[in-house]
Amino acid sequence: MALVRVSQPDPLRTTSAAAASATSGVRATGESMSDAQESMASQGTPASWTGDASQAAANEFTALSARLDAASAAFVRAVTVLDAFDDTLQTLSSRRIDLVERVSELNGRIDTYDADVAASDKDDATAQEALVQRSANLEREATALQADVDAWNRDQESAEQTVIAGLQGVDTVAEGQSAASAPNRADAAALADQLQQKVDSGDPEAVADWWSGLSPEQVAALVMHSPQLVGNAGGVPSEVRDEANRTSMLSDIDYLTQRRDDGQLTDLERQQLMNAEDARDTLDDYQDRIDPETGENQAFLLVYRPDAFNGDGGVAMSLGNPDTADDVTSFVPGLTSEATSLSGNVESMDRLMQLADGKNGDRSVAAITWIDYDAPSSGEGLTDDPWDFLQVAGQGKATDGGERFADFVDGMRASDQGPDAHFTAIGHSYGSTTVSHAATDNDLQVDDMVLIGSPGTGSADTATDLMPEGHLFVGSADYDPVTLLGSPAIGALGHDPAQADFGAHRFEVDPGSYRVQDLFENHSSYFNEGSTSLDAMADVVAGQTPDEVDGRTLGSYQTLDTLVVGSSVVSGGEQIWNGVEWTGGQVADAAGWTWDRAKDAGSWLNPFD
Amino acid sequence: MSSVEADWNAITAAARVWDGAADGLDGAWRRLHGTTGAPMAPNVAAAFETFREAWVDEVKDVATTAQAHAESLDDAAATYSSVDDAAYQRIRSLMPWSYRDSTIDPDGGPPPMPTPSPGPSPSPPPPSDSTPATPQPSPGPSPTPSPSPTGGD
Repeated sequence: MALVRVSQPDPLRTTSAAAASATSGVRATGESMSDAQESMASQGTPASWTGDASQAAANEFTALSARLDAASAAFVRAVTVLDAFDDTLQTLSSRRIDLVERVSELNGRIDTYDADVAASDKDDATAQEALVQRSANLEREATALQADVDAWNRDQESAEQTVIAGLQGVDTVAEGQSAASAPNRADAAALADQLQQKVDSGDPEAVADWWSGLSPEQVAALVMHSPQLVGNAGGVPSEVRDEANRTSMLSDIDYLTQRRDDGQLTDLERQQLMNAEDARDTLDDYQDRIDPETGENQAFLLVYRPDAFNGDGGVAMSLGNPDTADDVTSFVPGLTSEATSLSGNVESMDRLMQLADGKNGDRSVAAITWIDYDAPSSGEGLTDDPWDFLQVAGQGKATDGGERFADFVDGMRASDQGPDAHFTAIGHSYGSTTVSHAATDNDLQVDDMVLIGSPGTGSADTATDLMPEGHLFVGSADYDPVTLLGSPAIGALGHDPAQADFGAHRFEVDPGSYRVQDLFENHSSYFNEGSTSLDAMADVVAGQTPDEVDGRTLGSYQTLDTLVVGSSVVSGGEQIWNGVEWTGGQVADAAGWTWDRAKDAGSWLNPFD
Repeated sequence: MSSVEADWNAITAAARVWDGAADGLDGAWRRLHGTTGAPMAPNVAAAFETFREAWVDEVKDVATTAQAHAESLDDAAATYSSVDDAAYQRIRSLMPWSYRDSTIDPDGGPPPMPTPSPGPSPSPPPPSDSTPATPQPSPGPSPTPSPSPTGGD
């Protein structure tokens, strides 16, 4: 008897990303309504206005507020069912992948069986008996597998009917009014107060515990009511932080775009809109980054504070879910970093993540770009000359940023699911000073630390002031002048961690160009595609140890003054010899410029005198 | 009619709040209108669309109402200002001539004592550029003072 092949499961008719997108739109609309209702309630009916007109205005507000309340209640219900639908879709997606594989494998064995039957000797009773036995076994397996496939199909149908019923339950204004007066309605304002208290206590573990006790409807109501609070609260699951921050972002863009169109935008709002649009554009760049199993988008907006730091903004974005990843890294960039620097830094993290992912077997990786501190920026009257920054910036912003970064990592630790992730902090340039302060001043909870292009390690005198023995990794290009600023040279931002006596594990970095006009390019080359430094950092992120090279010792490397003079001379000779790219005058200018800056920096402590 | 107290600044500030809220709601319904969530299962998409359009209409209407409310508050503020200015002009016109140039004490104190004056001058003092001016009759009290664009508070 011919065996029947098992049918494949139906196509997944709605992707998780599509459901998430619909949910985001509804949530952002709900947040805008909540904002409007709140602002009108607090300031829309002035107490210092009485009389009939005032009473009429108050009545108008009451009526409008009731309409917004009904809409909010409907939206909370809709978001709750859409969120649940999204979760179910992720499970269905994962199950479907498994089913497709099993069906293909079993149908392949049935094909083989049929071929064996066709080729068998009909007179060979033993062989025929074995085939009958195989047939029975295959039929039993096929029946069971078909039952699984049918169950999957039913589950998809059931999930669709559930979300349809949920949406249909609140698709009229009357139903919204009914939802608003439901006795078990979540009290979003009260929940927000409770969460704020937990956040203020500075204990993200307590936030995580409290959060785990919320119902789906409470979560939906709270995110819609207070997305800024939820999105930036350590201990809240990363998926929810992402949903909340996207809600704030979309709502900000809606509101500020309208203000811009009305010609009402203030300078701070203009900056805020720019930050919001930059975050949106960066997320859009990774909208196709989908988990192949769950169908879930893998870009997470973990921090969104577009008005922070006088409009520079604070932002953090992860590629990969940091709550479920086995290896997590968080990168702190340096000078001039602000919210609009997100895109380029995320690209660097993407390269690092891909490389690390290829090194750690079955383990998963998440790479976070964290720009939620007030990095020295041109907005403070500084030029884009790194020497100026290093002289003017000092350690104050690294100290403040270090505290914020340590708090952020604590939050990530608290929302981590399953076994503790292996966590690596990476700091570049001034960001390395920031990460150092996070460790020395705030007990940064990471397993490994990487400092690249470091101008100094703050108050750390040795590697063990930052991390346990063997867990501090340093990359310093020989011709990166910023790495030559740390003690024993100028030392305004602390020690040079590449010095041998500092005790860190120094890994190999391409030395960089020895042309004077390229020296600062060398400082920003650590994440370049195919670079030895990127490979070494990927090793660390993947929990491996990169090859070690000798640390700096007196006489083994070019100090800042030697580098500046030497590269100027070489560049001048080279360019004069080539006579193509640069004229001798330009080279002389570049050499003079670099020399002047070096002298300016050096005049602090007079190292050249 | 109940007693009336009108803080002009508070009313205009409230108008701005309602205007801002209307902006937020306007952006909100547009956001919702543009939310498709495609691709979805056809039956889910249909349910979502029904939900979406019902609330787009409602939020849009609330936004329009909020904007109208903001404008009515602006109108109220302007009317209070106009009434206040008209009353000021009218009351001032009732004062003895020697008080006509006195300023209003914001703290509600009595007007300053008048400077002795012979009364309306048949020939007002010449302008500062010393150009000889044509003698004008005194305008006297205006029966229908024109509203002032300035605020009343």
